[in-house]
Order: sequence, then C-alpha cells, then structure tokens
Amino acid sequence: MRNTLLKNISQKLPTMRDIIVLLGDLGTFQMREARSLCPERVINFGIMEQSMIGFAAGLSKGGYYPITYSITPFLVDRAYEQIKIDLIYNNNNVLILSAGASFDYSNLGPTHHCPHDVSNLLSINHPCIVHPFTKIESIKICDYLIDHKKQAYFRISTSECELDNSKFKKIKKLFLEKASKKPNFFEKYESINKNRKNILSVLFGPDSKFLNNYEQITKRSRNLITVPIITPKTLKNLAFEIQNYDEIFLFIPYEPSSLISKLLNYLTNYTSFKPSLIKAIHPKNIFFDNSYMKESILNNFSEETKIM
Amino acid sequence: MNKLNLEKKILKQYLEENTKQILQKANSIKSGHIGGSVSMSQFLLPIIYYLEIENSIEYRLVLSKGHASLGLYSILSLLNINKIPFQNYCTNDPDSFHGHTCKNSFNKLLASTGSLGHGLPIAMGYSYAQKLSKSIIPTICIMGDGELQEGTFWESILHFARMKLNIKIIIDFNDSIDTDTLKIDEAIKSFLEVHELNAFSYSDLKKGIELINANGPIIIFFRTVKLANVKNYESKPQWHAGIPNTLELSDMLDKINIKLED
Repeated sequence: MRNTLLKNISQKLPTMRDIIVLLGDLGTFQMREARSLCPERVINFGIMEQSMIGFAAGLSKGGYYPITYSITPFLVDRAYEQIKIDLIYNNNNVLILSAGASFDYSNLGPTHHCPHDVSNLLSINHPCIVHPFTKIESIKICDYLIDHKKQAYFRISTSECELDNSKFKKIKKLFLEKASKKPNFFEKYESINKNRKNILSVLFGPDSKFLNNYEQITKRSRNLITVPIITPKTLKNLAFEIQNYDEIFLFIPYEPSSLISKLLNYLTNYTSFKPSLIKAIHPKNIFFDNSYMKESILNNFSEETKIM
Repeated sequence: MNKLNLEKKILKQYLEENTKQILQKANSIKSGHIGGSVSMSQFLLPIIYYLEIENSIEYRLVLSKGHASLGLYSILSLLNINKIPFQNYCTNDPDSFHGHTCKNSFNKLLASTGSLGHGLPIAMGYSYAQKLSKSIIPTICIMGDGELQEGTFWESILHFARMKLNIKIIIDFNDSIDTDTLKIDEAIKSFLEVHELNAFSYSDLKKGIELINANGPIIIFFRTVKLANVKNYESKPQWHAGIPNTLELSDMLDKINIKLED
C-alpha cells in the first residue's frame, strides 16, 4: 500500500503544483524521481518530526497542501502537540501519511509500535482518520483528500483486507460526498446466508481481520460494515446503522477508547435502541518487549471490552 | 521610506503610555505576562509603528513567544490598529481574548501561539511557501531567549541556513532565564550571523528596522530587560507572570522612567 500511495503522489506532483511532500527521512527511495523532477516540492526534511509538522502548518497557511511522511510513533507521538496546535487549533490542513500502524513494525519492538494513534488523534478532535482496506481504496481516498485539501491522518497498513465475495454481497455504500466517485465512509455487506442471527460486525481498518475470534464472529454475523474513513459524519451514520441489531461486535485493531466514547455519544441519540450486547475487540494496551509478528500480537493479545 | 521617522521624543511617549497601560491592564484583570510584554514592546512598538503607521508594508508576523500577547494587544490598541483585543483581554465575555496570542487579534498574524517553540517552524513554512510563489512578503518571527532552548529552534535553524528565506527572526533577549545550560547566545553566534542590537538605543532600533527592510534571512538579538522602564523592578523573576496589586501598581506607575539613549 505504501509504494502504491507514494507512486500515486509522485505522479501527481509535476502537474499539481500546490502539493509539497515532506519526508521524515523515509520514502526517499520511492520518491527519488519525483524529488529530482520537483526538488523544491519534495523535501527530505530530516529527522525532526516536530519541526516538520510546524513547517507543514506554515506551508498550508501559505496556500499549499503539504503531505508529511514518516513512521507512526514519530509523527503522532513525538509531534502530537504540533498536530494539536499547529494543525488542528490553527486550522492548517495537512495530510499526514504514517507508516507502521499499530504493530506493522512489530519486530522492531515497542519503540516503533503505535496502537494508540487513532485514539490520541480522536481525543484532540482530529476530523478525518483514514485506514483503507485495499490498495485501490487507498488510492481513491488519497486522490479525494488531495483534491479537497482535507485535514487528514492516513494510516497505511502493511495488510489488506478484502471481504470474501462468495460469502457476502455488498448492499450499501455511504459516500463522503454525494457524487458517487468519492470514497466511501463505510460499506455494508450482507451474508448470503439469510438465516443468521441479527448480529453486526464492524471492521475499523484492514488489521481487524487479525483480531481474536474474527473468523468465528464474522461467520455468525448477518451484516458486516467496513469503515475506511473515520469522520464525525461516519460515526453518526454508523450509530444510525447499528441501532437495528441485537449484537454488535466492533473490531478495532488499535487502542479503542476515544473511538468508543465518540460512537457512544452518537448512539445515545437513539433512545429506543436496546441491543443485548455491544462488544469491542481490540489489542491489549501493553508493551511487547519480545519479538512477535504483528498477526500474533493482534490475535494472541487481544481483549474484549463489553460496552453495553 | 526605509527609515523610521518617528522622533525619539514621541517614541518615548508611546513607550511610556504602553508600559502604563500594560501594568494597569494586568492589575485590573489579574492576568498577563507583564515582564515579556514590556520587554518586547521596546522594539516591537517602533517596528509596528514603522510597518503599519508610517508605511503600509505587507508582512506577516508570528509571535512565537505567545505569552507576550498583552504587549502586542497593547501596541495595537495604542496605535489605533485594533483596540478590541486589548479592551476585551481576559474578560468574561465569550469573545474575549485569552492570555496567549490569538491570530484573530491582528490580520498580520499567521498563527495563534502560546506553547513555546511552535512559531519558528510555522514562520519558516509560510516563508518557504512565499518563496515558491515568488512573493517577497517578509515573515517576522518574534521569539524569547528562553524559547531558544526548544528543540524546534535548533531543528529549524538547520533549514534556515540553507533555504535563504525572506524571514526575520527577532529575539527578545531579556536574559531572564536561569537554566544550567550553555550560554545560548554564544552558541548561536558560533555558527550563524547574528545582529546584536540594544533595544534601549534609538539608533539601534532604527538599524533593526533597516534590517527588517532588507531582503533575505536575518537574525536579530534585541538586548532587552524585563520591566527595564520601571525603576527598582527591573529584571526580577517574579514579574515574568506576576500581577501587581493596587499598591504595587501605583508604585510602579510612579517609577516609570523610559530608557532610550540616542
């Protein structure tokens, strides 16, 4: 997904003259051609994520749309205050591309893990968090964000997750904008087996498939919803959708607290809504000072939190 | 056009009025960082007077030492540029201006600031955007000397030396910080060209304005002192964010004595 996205951005650079790419000494190989073609607009900014986000804020103020790229914890954790103040408080739209969602760099240890990125960004009201399920979806969303110069956090995962077409049919798409070319908020799928119980599984990003009991629960679910983009509008629509089920399973492959609290906030609008169960399945919040594969961390160290 | 025309005598009157109203405001609303606000005003008042009143020069400003908002708002009010932020500083009004710099207060400001170390990267990014767009609008970034300890200053300076932007970094060097570090001015001067000016010298203030007018990257250290213009209250740490009570205020007002050599 990473190479696909960087290639997509490289191709846009010569003609879209208001894009500036700032690399945190990552992606220089993939961006080498674009860098030689547009040296003023592809900058290897160096290993200084805080200044990189601040600089991006200034570029945005000056009419450009900066795209910053580095490893997740160095962008989200180290430059957290810059994202909070320079981007969100000061309304400077920047596309943050981050590589290494949750445990993509699992073998490199806890210094390179970042399972709390989404939660932390939601808690400072970041308006648009993206975790696409496939390469095709990632391109579509990236194009949309660049065309509209959105404030966005783009979480690139090493895995993809395409639902099995033989078992589910797509029944609903909800769009970010009305035009159908725009990327989806979420897609809703129905099982071809109509006799299943009134269960809904909601997948937040492609790594959902590694969480414990994913197979068993989705096999029992009548409907699945995939959520590639989290915005306030997504959560509002999602709350509307999930009020119709008896049991809801939220597959959240990262620290889920802010996401759950925001979703609950919308769910309280539906007073007649009485599910027998809402459960979040998510990774445990611990440090892994051993070498585990990403799949193994998400599967063996996942936790179920009963919400309702 | 390239020189400040404001007479020394008038500047002194402005500085006196500005110091008075900063102290009175802090006393009346029990808020504000008076030390840095007064020290910064010593050079910012003539600079804004030159840019806004004597000329109308296009520029952008980042007040990276955002806690000196009271100083900026006081100047804007005194020079009749925008009276609202000073009038409505830290009141109960929902539209009031809080204790750190809000970009809505002044159309030249690029950012709302407060947390130290954020201003320079934003100013550099904006200035880089201007360079790409072939614009010559200068960006002025005002920092405190304590703020120079922030990592973002040292990070940004690595790009500053290469990018050749039309940016003016002005340091309010009031030397009130007492940390166990290297002498930061000596460290910076060891590898960068710095213009050291005395903010209590009329001719140095004029020189500073000439430097701001010149195209290209400039670093100015304006040597200032917190509450230098209030006799017996100079350079005391308690007046960084301390609020004078009514007795102290009346004593301070009695002791205002504007320092401005030729």
